[in-house]
Amino acid sequence: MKHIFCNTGYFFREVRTLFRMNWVSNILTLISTGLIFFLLAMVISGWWISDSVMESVRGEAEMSVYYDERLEDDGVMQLVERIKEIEGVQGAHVISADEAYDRMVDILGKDARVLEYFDDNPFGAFVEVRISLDKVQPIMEVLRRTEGVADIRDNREVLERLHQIAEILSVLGYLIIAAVGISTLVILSHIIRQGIYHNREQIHTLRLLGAPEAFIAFPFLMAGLLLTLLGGGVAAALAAYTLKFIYGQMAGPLPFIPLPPIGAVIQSMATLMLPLSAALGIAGSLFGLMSERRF
Amino acid sequence: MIEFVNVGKTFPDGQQVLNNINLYIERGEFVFLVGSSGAGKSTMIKLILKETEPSAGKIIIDNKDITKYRRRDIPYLRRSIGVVFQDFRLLHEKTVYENIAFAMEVIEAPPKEIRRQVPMVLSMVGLSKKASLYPQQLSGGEQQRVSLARAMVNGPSILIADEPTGNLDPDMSWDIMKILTEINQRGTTILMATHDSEIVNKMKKRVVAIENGTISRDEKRGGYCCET
Repeated sequence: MKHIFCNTGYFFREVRTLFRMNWVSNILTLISTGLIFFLLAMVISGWWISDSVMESVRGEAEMSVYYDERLEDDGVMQLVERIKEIEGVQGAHVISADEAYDRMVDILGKDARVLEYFDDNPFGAFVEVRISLDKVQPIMEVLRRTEGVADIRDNREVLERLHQIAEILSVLGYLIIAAVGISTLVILSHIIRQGIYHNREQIHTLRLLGAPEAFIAFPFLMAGLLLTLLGGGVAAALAAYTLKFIYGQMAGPLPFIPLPPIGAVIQSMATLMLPLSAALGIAGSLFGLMSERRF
Repeated sequence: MIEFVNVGKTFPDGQQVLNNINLYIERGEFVFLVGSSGAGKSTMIKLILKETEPSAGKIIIDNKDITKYRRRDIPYLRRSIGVVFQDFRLLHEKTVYENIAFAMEVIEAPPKEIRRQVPMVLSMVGLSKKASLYPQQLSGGEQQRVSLARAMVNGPSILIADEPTGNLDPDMSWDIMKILTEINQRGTTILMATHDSEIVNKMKKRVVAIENGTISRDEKRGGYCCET
């Protein structure tokens, strides 16, 4: 392929001819690879988002320790000091009933009107304890034995749920990556074989004219690469639009979920999708060419 | 130039198409290969182009035993051999110019060389004014001239013509033969398989006749039939 760059014009003309000869199949291939890549983009983005959310929640691991209402202020302060001494506790401070109320108003936003139906403040004061996530169990055990502690609530359940979702998404992600890989290879190799079949006379003439196999194969390789790159581009655009829509929908009713910045998610997704689709395009085309090598 | 040494060819079903063929064609010769259909002419052409392998013997082209060529060497062998087919095998979605340029593109010739060489061969076959037309806009004879130009554009030392006049009327056939004679006079070795007795008889060139897979006749200035 000494003069391969000199013949770029020829290769592009051949690719155009390949697309023109079989345009219905090529458009269908483009749509199907675009949709397959879209699924992949969405699962991978979901995977990243859930990981990011889990990391944020992990960083904010805390417990709410409700104390005996009969405790005086001094007793509460002593309790806070005792909690701070427990191994794995990173900090503790009292949240008054009014602060608890204000927090809930912030979280509920427009829906905070529901709190106006209460005659009295429904929230009680508590000690907010920031902890190391891996020390949850021993801290719980010490707190349960601590005098003056009435109830303990933690966000372990939320973390466990998130962890399960992230695990499901990662398994789903691997399965979908495998499915996308296999289906792209099959679809592309099929379209390449179809192109080879339609051009068999020309390929035979090319061989008799002394064309090297690589020269004959190159336009098919380029056609496969272009199809998947376009499919990847369509998928990235669709996924970006869908993610923006989902973020927009979540921002109103679920503002407290610590979603990663959408710009970063879209950029990472596009950066992954384009090289991935190109790699799958080349692999699919090679697979198709190899299966028709002795045409 | 081209040498067949004890060449035999048996198909996988056991049918023997060539048996102990010994033939030597000198550089610059014009040789007609004649014989009835199925006699083995096309198989001999396929063997020279390395489209098929002999079951026995060796084939020497330009002092090289091509039966020992590896797969990756085949394109280089074919670049030294121009081929013309009975059915022209032109690409219908390409213009006359593109069809010829294509033969240079496949051997990765630089575009500058292509721009220089294609008009020259078009002029040689008298189609300079039809460069922008498509094959289907040309007559059979003109299409065969394009095919000849394509075969010659890379300056091969050997030209194989498999029934080049098979689809043409007598006038057009003689046009093609005139061009082939000119090409031969410039030093290109020509091996032409044909059924056209009139052409063979009038050209008075070397005739190799194949019958039942063997050479039945090899005459320096022969005719289509031995009686001629």
